Amino acid sequence: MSQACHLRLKHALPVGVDASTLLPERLATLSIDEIARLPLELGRDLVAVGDLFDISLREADGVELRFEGDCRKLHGVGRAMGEGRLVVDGPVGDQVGVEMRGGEIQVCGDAGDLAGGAMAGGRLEIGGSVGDFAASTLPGAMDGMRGGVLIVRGDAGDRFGDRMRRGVAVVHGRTGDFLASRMVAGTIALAGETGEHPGHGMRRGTLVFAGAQPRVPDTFSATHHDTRVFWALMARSLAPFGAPFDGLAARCPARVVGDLGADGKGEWMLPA
Amino acid sequence: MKTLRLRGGRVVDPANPGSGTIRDIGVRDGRIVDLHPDAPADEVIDCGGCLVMAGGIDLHTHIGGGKVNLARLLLPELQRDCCTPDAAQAWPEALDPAAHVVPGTLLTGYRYAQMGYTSAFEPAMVPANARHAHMEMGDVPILDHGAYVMLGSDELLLRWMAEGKPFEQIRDYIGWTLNATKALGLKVVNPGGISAFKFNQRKLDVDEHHSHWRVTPRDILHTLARGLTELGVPHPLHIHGSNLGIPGNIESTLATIDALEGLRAHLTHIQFHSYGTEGPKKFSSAALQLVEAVNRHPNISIDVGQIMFGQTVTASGDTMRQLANAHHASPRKWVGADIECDAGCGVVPFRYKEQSYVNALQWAIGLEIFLLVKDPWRVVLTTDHPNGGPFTSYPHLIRLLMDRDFRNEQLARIHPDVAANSALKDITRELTLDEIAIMTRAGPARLLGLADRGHLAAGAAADIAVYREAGDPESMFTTPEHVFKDGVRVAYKGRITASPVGGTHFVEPAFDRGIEKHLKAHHDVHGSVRFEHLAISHDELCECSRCGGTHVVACEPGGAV
Repeated sequence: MSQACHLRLKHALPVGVDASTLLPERLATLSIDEIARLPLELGRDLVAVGDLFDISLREADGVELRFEGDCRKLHGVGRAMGEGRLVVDGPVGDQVGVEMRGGEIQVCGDAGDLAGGAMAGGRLEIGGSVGDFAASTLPGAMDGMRGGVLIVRGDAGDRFGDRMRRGVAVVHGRTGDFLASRMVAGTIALAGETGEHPGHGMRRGTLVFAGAQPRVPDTFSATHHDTRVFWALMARSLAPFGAPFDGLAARCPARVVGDLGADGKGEWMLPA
Repeated sequence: MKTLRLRGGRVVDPANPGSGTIRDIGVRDGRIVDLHPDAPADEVIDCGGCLVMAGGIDLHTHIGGGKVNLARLLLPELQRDCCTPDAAQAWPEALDPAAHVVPGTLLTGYRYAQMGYTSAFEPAMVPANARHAHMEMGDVPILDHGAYVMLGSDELLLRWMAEGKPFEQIRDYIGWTLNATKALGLKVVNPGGISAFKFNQRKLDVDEHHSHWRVTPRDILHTLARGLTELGVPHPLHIHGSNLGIPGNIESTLATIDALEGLRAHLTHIQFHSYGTEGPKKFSSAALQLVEAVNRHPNISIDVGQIMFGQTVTASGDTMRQLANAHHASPRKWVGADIECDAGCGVVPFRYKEQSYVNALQWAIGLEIFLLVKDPWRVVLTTDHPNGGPFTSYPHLIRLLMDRDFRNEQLARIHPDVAANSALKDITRELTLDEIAIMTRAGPARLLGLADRGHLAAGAAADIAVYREAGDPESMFTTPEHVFKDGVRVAYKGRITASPVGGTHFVEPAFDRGIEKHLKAHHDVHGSVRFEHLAISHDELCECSRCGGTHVVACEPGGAV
């Protein structure tokens, strides 16, 4: 048996708090007192976890950490997480799950910017919508999402999957502008509409438009390859994400490649 | 009027007689005073078992001005883990060294002070950026600071030289620029080359003509050095020479020394300018040739610009050379920029690798220069932070110079062809504490004309570092026991204990104000800033450097060489 740690916010946070040090695997071996004494930055001040949260521990099947309350100003939740399970009961701030390597994060509400930025492994599921730069690169870095699975049940903002180079990212709603910009590899599947300039500077990687079909830009071109075998495998791997991704096998896609201004080896699958 | 006594330390003070003796140092009102052994003191600090030295002085470190900020913007990923309050104090615990490649202003001040350094000087201030540079250095806590202003590729100088204007006019232009920008010295970067780059030249040898203005780097070097000599500026012309990093550039470096015709000059990051073309890879050490020239020319001083293995960023005004190096960028991104048509800028991230033949040779060349120059007063210890490596690597560098066995251990780790053939393996010299103190304190103070810094005689500023004599030089120089800045204890065993504001050092050479009508005429047509707004007044300097004190360094006009 392991322990599940519940952190309930005592009050609404006045300013942003960096919660990246609170990881399930780190708290799993600590007592309530030890957790309460851990330092957090509140603006320019240092406070203790116990000042901001009511803490309770329960027995559980695996390592688990749960945040409760309005966590919109809690940033960096699950940063570089390696194992265990982390649940946020409502919305969460920026940079949830950035650089995560394993384990599972579930956010029931919306998430801010940079959700799953530079994530390398594990599973990150956002019940609501995400801001800009989800599955993307952290500021200045050269690589975006590089492994794992990101699921967005709601909508995504601009620059979803910027510089992404491995892993699978699925959006059930719509996305903003510059979807998959500068994408290097990996798979993005989208159910809703997308904004302006999808695939801008896309070098490699796969975009699946399961719902609304975008206008194909002039820098992408049709290839007429026989994609039936590939599509059967791709459709099977996306089916577990539910409607509308579960019916793809029966819909034979058109395939275009681009961005011809940047290598042009990225592909869009446009199922009929 | 409190008095402090540092009791019983071994005082390493090569600028004054009796270095290496055990004695007390008295401090009152931020100054060092003679204190009778029986005189009472308000506070006594036992320094038994410790070395007492003047605070360190870095005479060439990029800590302020446009390109430093460009490097920070280009590489935010290197700063991500070093911004927390914990990290600011964490020293020298296992922080990623890359965190010090582009430190913010606070981290810069804290880290230098934690190592026992109390002054640092920015070597490349573009006139148009002078306000920003002073503000940024003012924001660096604890350290005294100053900057060398850049001329030599600016349109006005090149035009006047091309038009054959009288030397006095150019001399007064130099004098006005030093005054207006509140600079401590004058720097020239790739003389004429930054401008030539904009006229599509991709290299410029010392005797090659700028394709438009038809002047040569030789003319520029001599004109600027002569100007400074006549103005009596203590720090000689600070020269970043031609052809940086190119195999065979020792020829340019020797030609540069020749162009000075005996006028004083300081050749900076000389390691990058000491390359030959021998051997199977057509890239070899020319350290011996360089050292022979330096030993023969007492008018020349150098700083080394040692490279250290690991991640860093090269930030330079030398757009021409940085463009040529851009394809080596790691990570693969860089910035190049023009500044006000008067200067340039290139920022290229770089990782020096032990197993790279070129990098290993660069490392060995730097150490050869340190160990072969006879007169330590003319060699300053630098890594050209961050170009050769972050300044936080100085303690490691000091150990390489003081400990031959350690040096040979490191030599065995680098590219085998370099390890086998380098002259370094046969050099037995180990620098003494006095020599280290000269290269890191007394020497730079003398080269900059800072009469009351870099030594511990009565009357000097109480900038003091106290190192416990234990362990190897690297650990000793990483974490001094006590560090004092103007008599205030700023660090204790690696923890910052106070954060005073440092002062600005600058020169105010006399010049003929008649030059201003010519400058105004130029700026009215070509400038983006009103001429009247260019000069920084004393009051403004004080304000923009957080009023940490303004120190005018005396000039001696009349051309004492």
